[in-house]
Amino acid sequence: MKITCQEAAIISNKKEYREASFKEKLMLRFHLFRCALCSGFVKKNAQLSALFSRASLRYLSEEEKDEMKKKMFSH
Amino acid sequence: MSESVLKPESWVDLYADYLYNYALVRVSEPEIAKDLVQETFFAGLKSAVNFKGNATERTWLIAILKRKVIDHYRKINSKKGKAEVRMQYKSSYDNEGEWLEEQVADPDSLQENDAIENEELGLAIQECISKLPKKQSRVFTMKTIEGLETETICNELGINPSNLWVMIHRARAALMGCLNENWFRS
Repeated sequence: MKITCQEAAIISNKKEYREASFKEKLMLRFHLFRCALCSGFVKKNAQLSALFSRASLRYLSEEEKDEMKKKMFSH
Repeated sequence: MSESVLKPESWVDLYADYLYNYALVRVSEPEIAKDLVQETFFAGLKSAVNFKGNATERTWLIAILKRKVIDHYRKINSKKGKAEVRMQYKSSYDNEGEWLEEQVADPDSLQENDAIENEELGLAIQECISKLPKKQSRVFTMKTIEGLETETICNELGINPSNLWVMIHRARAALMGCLNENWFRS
């Protein structure tokens, strides 16, 4: 059941995208009991996700960007 | 400051998303925002000789985009035959006070202040993302902003899931540091 901080961090990230398995979540919780450093990270990580959803960023797709490049240099 | 030189061939990769979000909050129509960004790049190419190197590339491009946004509003207003300020009037049934009174911005309105703050936040995030190594920022935006499945991203980029999670981790750790500097402290 023991995991390293590195592994804990990866699970925490997966959790932010709702992709951590039940077993992983259990292992993470177990780890957080004993590790204050990782507890801090998990908290900050959740805050980061909250910031992203608040900013509601929009992106141009790679295709749109390629098209832009093409237009720029075809003149 | 180090000597600023324009590198137009990297503009789209470095600034397109930043400029796009900047335009989007101002014109709110995705197609128009995209056109304005494209026009900004054209104008930048054309007037590259005038670039004196005392601003960063991005600041310079933003300045061009600002003018494009203004031109856009001028154009749609002059189409009506005369200058006219377009604004959304409230529908008549909720008219209670004086007309003028209702048009004045409410300084305590959370909605508007939030919008301004979120715009600044968006640009701060964008700036931090643009500092990430190319592959990391690609994986990160696909996962976080486009919300794609892990499997889809892995197939498209030819990486395996554990590669992906390591890259996501590095990106998120870097963004935490960057936003700490640029957002929480300012």
